[in-house]
Amino acid sequence: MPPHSHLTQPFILLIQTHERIIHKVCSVYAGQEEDHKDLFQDIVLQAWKAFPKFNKLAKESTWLYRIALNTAISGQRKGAGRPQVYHNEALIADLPDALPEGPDKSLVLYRAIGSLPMLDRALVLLYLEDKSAAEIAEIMGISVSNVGTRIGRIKEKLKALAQPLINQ
Amino acid sequence: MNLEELKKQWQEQEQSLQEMHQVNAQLLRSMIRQRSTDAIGQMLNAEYLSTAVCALLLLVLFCSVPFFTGMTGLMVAFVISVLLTGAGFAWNLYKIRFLQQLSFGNTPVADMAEKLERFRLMMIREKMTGFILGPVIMGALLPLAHKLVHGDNPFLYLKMYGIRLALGYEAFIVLTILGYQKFYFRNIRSILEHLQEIRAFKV
Repeated sequence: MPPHSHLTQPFILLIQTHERIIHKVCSVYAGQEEDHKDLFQDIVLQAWKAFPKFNKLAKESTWLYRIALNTAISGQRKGAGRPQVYHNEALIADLPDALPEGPDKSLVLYRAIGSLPMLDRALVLLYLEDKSAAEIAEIMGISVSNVGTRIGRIKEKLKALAQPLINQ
Repeated sequence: MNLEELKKQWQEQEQSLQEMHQVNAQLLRSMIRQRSTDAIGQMLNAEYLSTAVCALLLLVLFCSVPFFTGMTGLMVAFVISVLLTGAGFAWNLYKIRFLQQLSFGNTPVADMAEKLERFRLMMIREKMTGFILGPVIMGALLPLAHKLVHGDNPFLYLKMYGIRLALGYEAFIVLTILGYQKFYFRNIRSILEHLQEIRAFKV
């Protein structure tokens, strides 16, 4: 009998409940569809390994975000900080190779997010998810006041990154 | 469009995302049954393997002591081999402990990123040390292995091969240093920059 087999059912339920969290993290950190699938599986495996020690002091979603982001970052060791092409198959259907005529500004912004350093990308993802500053701080391991400061800086950075793409 | 507007769009598409991805229980069961390992798991497996190799080598060395006694050169080679292999064994145990402490569920993301960069730095420095000490340990192990396999005095052959070995070793050192300058030192610089970025992120 595999270890922790009695936990299989609660684990599957947890993943099914919060599955979109994993997909969103994959969308931000995996470049291609195949990478998306691999990363999804890696995250599920890591969550399964960590599940017996999950003490429920943290919210399930906070715990899963932490695992998903840590797995994504650990898989990117070689290219740490070197962003991949942003690919969000769920939110941006049929991402075109070139920017559309009269650029779709949301697409431009997604691309700009994809070019941020990996920790900034994690912060943006949590921000888009409408997480509270306290929860973002807990997941990321930074102070609540730092979350606000960082988000402010990222907004400026995104504006600077997106503007040249819009002007193209 | 700014980040605030994107946030609204993101929230609106939440429902469609939920409907698009419905992974079934059977697929999840097969995922967690797989023995495939993640990046950290692969590194741990490599460390377990090299620890086992060091342990085996130490065992062979200690079991072979009677063959080396009486010859000062062989005893010196034995001591060097044991010291370097023992250091490698201890270093591997440290790395295993470091990797085992990386808890994906409990370590905050910024801390994890910092630890992973520190580990990358450790690995690069380990490779550099390995390149320098590699020939030393090989030079110490070869006469011991010769004695065990052939039974005669390995230092009789030193006169024959000594000069060529010394020249080869010097050439190896020069090439290694040139290689380091091109690859490893640049990598170290970039890792240190990343570490600085991460530390700045946390403050």
